[in-house]
Amino acid sequence: MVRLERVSKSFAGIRAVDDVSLHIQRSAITILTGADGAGKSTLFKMLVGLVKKDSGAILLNGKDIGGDYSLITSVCGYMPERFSLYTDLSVEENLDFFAAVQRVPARRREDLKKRLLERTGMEPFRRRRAGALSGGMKQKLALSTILLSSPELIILDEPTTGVDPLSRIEFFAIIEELKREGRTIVMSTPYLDEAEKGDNIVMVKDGRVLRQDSIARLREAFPARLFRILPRGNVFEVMRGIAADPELAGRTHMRGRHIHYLQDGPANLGLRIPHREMVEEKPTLEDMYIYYERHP
Amino acid sequence: MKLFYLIKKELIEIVRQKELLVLMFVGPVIQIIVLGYVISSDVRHVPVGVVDLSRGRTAARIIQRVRQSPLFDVRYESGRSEDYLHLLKKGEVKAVLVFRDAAERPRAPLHYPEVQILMDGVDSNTSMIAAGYFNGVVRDYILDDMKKLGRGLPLTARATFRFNPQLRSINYMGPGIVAILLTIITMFLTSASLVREKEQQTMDTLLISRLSPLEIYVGKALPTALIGMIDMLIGLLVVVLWFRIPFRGSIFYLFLACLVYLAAILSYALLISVLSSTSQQAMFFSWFSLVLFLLMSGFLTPVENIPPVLRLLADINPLRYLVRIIREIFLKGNGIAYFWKDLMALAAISLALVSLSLLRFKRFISK
Repeated sequence: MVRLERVSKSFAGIRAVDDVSLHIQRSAITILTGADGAGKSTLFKMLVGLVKKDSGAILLNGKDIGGDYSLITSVCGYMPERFSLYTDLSVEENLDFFAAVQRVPARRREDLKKRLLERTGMEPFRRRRAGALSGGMKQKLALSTILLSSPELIILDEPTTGVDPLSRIEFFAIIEELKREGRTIVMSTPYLDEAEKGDNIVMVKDGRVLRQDSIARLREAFPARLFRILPRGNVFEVMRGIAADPELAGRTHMRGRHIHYLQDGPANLGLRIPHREMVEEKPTLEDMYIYYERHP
Repeated sequence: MKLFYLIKKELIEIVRQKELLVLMFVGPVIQIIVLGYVISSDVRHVPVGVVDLSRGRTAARIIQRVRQSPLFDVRYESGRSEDYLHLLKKGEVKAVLVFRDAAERPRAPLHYPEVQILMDGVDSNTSMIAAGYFNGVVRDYILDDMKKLGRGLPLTARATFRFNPQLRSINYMGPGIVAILLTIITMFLTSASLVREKEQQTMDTLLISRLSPLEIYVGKALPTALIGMIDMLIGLLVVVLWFRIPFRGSIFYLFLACLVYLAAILSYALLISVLSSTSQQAMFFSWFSLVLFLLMSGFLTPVENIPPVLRLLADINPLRYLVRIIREIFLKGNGIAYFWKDLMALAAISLALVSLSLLRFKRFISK
């Protein structure tokens, strides 16, 4: 649906987005993941025209939008990173306001509002001020306001950051439902377990795309084998020993009381680690992200 | 319709802030009453010291008149020569009146002591007025003496004061305070509004919504204009009912002038809002501007006193024109024929500020 071709943006000489090409597929969930400051928010802001790109092209349904961002904003709903609704207004007043500014016909408003409140489970809170809602509720309200205009493309910038685990699950269930309705969703998250749920995962670091594909294909193309190692002795002490070994240090990371070793050569260097148990497992997105971050 | 919802949203946001509500509608009443009493150019109860070295009847009579006058408070009396400057330095008195015997004219038909007025010139305005008052007391005493001898002055100029016969300074200041109030409320509320949207990131949501820049701009300005007009009405009632200042002109012209002024001041406040990144910056800009507007408005001191180099700043100060128009309407009951030039100047400044502010706002949006 939307394609970004070699898009770049710098702020005061620092490249926030560096030569990024990206394909946002129709009726799918595309998830951008990466550390804070990776350039995810800037990329979204460029998509909706809040930040002007320095170079590259944005194509909507195969056509270059040029400088006319209204082509995108007319079909999309954008939810910024921070809660950006009016905290002094009630849930219902926020919905009324955004319905009006999004030109939702008055006759459809009530019905739409009712359906959205039911869908997000916010009906009992319709008269509560937005500022008094919990983090999860706030995000659901923000999502509801952008759904008022029934957008084809939904852009969500870190919608689950700072939200409790249960609300995150509920929020994602709504996202899945929207996908089933045929909407195109592009979102960002710092949580790699959440990013795994995307149809297309885009790993970002320092404004550049490290890898992008489905989780299955990412695993398929992953050049390393993962070994989960239960070390002998204290895991922190073992990790300190690993830090002194440059060959191992770049291929291991701690995960709870285990150490994950990524073997990308013929020799299993993990055997150097004093261990009680070593099991080969399927790499998670986190393993892959850490690997690509170290070996871009 | 979208504009209606934007205005409604702005008003709800303002009304829901209870502290702000009190400040907006009770604050002005307190402010006008306090300012009405505090900002007064009337000079009364000037603390003075009296030193009578002549010990004559004339000096005693003049001193008696000074004592009886509400203009002076005699705080110190002495009959011996001393360091008068020390009295002024201590700050207990603003003036020392010294009566000495005029030795060279003891047998003149009208024999008066020599009078010296030593003034504390730090507050030059009060000193000048107080010196004038004292000269008036002495002059009246002499005229009374001359009348008793069947003499009089060959020529006297009698002043008749129109529009404010009692020369009450509140009559002059009161209408100006209403103009100041309108400025404070609208400038501070509006300059904070866009910045708040930026800080809360709701600006991003507004910008990508289907609202045009003009709609956002008008939607921000209109609610404050409405509140400003209500406050102005409250201010009018307070100065008329509390201070008994006569309102002789047309309320229609007053509202017309205020509306034209609001266009200027709201545009200026929106310009501040666009240029500021934080509420703190917006507040600083507003305070800085308000002080300049106030000092160059003719509210406290005549605009004519401003040096020619700085006069241009006064000429482009919208508050200057509103203060003048509002005084014309209030006290003189003048119609538009008397202040159309001021109104046109105000309209020109408004137009320039609206254009500049709107242009800057559009540039901010398309950044």
